[in-house]
Amino acid sequence: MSYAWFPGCRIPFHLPDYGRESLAVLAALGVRPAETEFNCCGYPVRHQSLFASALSAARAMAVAGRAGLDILTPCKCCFGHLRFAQTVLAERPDLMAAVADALRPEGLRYVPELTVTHLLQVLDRDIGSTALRAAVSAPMAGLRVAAHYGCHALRPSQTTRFDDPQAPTIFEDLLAAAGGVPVSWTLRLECCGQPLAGKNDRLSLALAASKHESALQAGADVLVTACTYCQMQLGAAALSCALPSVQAASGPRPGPPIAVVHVSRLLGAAMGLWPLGAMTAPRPDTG
Amino acid sequence: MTVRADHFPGAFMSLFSAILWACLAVCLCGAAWRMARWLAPDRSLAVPGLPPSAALRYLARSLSWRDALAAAPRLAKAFFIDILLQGHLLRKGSLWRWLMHFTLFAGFSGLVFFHALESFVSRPLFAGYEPTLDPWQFLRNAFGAMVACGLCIALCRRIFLRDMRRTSRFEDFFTLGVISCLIASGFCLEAAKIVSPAAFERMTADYLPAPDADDLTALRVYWAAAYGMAFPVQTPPPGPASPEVYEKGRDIAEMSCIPCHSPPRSAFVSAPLSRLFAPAGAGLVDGLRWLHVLVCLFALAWLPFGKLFHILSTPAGILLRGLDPGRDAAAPPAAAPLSRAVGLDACTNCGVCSRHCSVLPAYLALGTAEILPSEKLASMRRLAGKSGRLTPAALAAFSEGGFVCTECMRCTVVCPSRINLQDLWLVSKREAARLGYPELAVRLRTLGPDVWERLARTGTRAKRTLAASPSLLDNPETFAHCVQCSVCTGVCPIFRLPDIPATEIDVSPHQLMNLVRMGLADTALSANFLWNCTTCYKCQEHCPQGVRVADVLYELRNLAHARVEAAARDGLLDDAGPVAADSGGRP
Repeated sequence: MSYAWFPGCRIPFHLPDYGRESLAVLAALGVRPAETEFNCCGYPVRHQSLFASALSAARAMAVAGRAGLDILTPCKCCFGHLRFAQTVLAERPDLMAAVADALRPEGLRYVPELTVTHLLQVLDRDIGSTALRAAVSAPMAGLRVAAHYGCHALRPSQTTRFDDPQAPTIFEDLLAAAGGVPVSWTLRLECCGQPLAGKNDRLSLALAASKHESALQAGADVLVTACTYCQMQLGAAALSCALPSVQAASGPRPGPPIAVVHVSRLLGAAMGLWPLGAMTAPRPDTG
Repeated sequence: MTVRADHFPGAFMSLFSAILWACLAVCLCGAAWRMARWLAPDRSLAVPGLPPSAALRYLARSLSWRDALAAAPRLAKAFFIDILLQGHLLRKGSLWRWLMHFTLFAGFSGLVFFHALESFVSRPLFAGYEPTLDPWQFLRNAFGAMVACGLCIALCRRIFLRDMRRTSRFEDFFTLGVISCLIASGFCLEAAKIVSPAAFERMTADYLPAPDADDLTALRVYWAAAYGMAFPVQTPPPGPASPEVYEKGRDIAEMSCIPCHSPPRSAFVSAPLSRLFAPAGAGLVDGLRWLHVLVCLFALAWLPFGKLFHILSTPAGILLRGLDPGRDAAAPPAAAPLSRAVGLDACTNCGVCSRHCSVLPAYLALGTAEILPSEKLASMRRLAGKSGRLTPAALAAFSEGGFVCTECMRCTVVCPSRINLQDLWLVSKREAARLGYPELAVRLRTLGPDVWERLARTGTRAKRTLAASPSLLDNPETFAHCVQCSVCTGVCPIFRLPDIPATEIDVSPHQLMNLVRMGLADTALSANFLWNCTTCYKCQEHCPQGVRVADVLYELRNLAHARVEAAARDGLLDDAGPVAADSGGRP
């Protein structure tokens, strides 16, 4: 299967490491997605205009379809929204017609049969945990990892078909294959709070803090994400300039109380591509 | 601008000098005014906590001689490759764009230095320089042809490329028009002079000592036959010229003309053009001379006030651009206001940013021009010029455009003028919020139910949003199975947070569903909770009755945006936004 790499808008400026390291991990496992210029998936304008967001998604899929490629993205919001757009375009002929009209002047055609795949699915399905285990050269012995699922990949499950929405295992399986010890934590399927960033910072930060606390309570050494937005939100790599009101009110955001890394950083470290940072080393068991 | 005194009557020269000095003064004052705004940038471009006016001082202080030495090779390379050869236009992959701009730039530079400034450049540097001698006569035509070539490509791109047409403005065509007039009048002037009996007579009077009528006739015959000159019909004698007359003409020409006057055929544009002009065109010399000179002087005077100013601002911006624009945007250096002010002036409205913009489809769907980077930059330039005195509608559009931007950095990567657009967009969001126009969702959440009812009553549904017209809200089936079991509220992440003010959760998800079921969607739009939903879809996933709770919440938000957009289009928004000050919260 040939993929087009759909990093999503937030990678180049906000999280370049996630993009670079994901591609490095994929390349080490033999997957080399084609780099194509895409527009925004449309997720950020979904609450403003369904038409704008569906058109954005359809255009991105048309661009991939024109090259005969399927879409591979490391962002769960891009993934979820592209899948959502596929469903809603299939459900609503009026929307489909308006989208087709808007794409026609550019000579683009929406490709309904194109598949949208998340990074975790490629690792799990195309590569498989056996091959991943074989590629691991420096297992993260005993590192207790809290896998953060991300809402928009899991739900609405009828649209995203990512994993069991109530009891997903795909993320933990992959981390276990890389030598991590997944912990069970209360808020693992809950929202990181990013959708409210800049809109209601108080709630947004409270949601993020509750996730950190839950992971710490479960004894995790590190909280692992597989979504650009979740990583920005939980990792405090989030640039304070992305939240003008927070910056103006209270200065830069404090760092998170637990190390938060994206999945490719951990997998790459386990595969010996780069060292595991000190932040993510297993902490001594305090009992 | 040099106009050789010996070619022109005295009255022309004195009037010309007066206009020249006036235009030069306007040009210099205008350029000084614009550059002063670089050194004392508007406060909208400030780095928080630092006065913008001190940007230059910060820049100077941050540079040590060691830094300057280290940066010198890089700056020299940028100067030669990016500014002189304009490699930055080629680097992002369009040969036509480079060809268009390089021919314009090289041709125009050639004309300015060797033709307009001939008294200061050509004459002192090249012994025996005469504008009528080759290679100068040929070069003048070659430079002019290069500019014409660039103009044609530029015009075709602006007219025929859909993406460029979208962002082209009057000023772009006006600028192309001014340069076209300048080049066309130059070619026509030269063509008219070639066939001008007056010019011929003046030259023979100057360079041919005591000619008789036969000499002149022979000379005319020779020039007409050998160089294809087109004299007005009545001047040469009727009938075919004899070889003797031709030979005599050649002798005179070789002795008196050729040393300072190359055959006109090397003026490969003007000479053929002159044949179209003959014979009537000869009388146009004076008119064309005025036209050419006035267009040149107008361009000179207008230079600091239009996009032609990029001749200065774009090179300045290229040299000021940091090595890592992403880092400079994330943590702006103290000298950032200077780069921002130069960046705003360096835009040539080439439209490349808008063509590659990640949110171009959002623009196509929503129609707010300010979503496109090139248009947003124009708004920002107005904002920085007037310190926030944009109309509320312009500010609202500026804010919408700013917040639709996903900060993907692509425009910064592709910008041929190498403006740090990423940095400007982060500033644009901050400024929009400071001026009372934060993200639209933040403004909408403050509107009360009365406002929503009024907008619902008076506003028409906008055409563009028709495709997104609510389908779940209008369909009674959506809520038919809701039994108000409150599972949606039970799983909502907002409701499990400790210490959340009651106003943030004024309505719970199941109550919201009930409101919409009862046809009270407008009341639902004013619920704080609607705007606090994180769209995590837990409610919808867990609903035992299969109600699409989160999809309904999305549709309600779409409806709110559509109502306000429609009201804005219908002119129902007053100065304070979608409401009068006494009838709801401030938007």
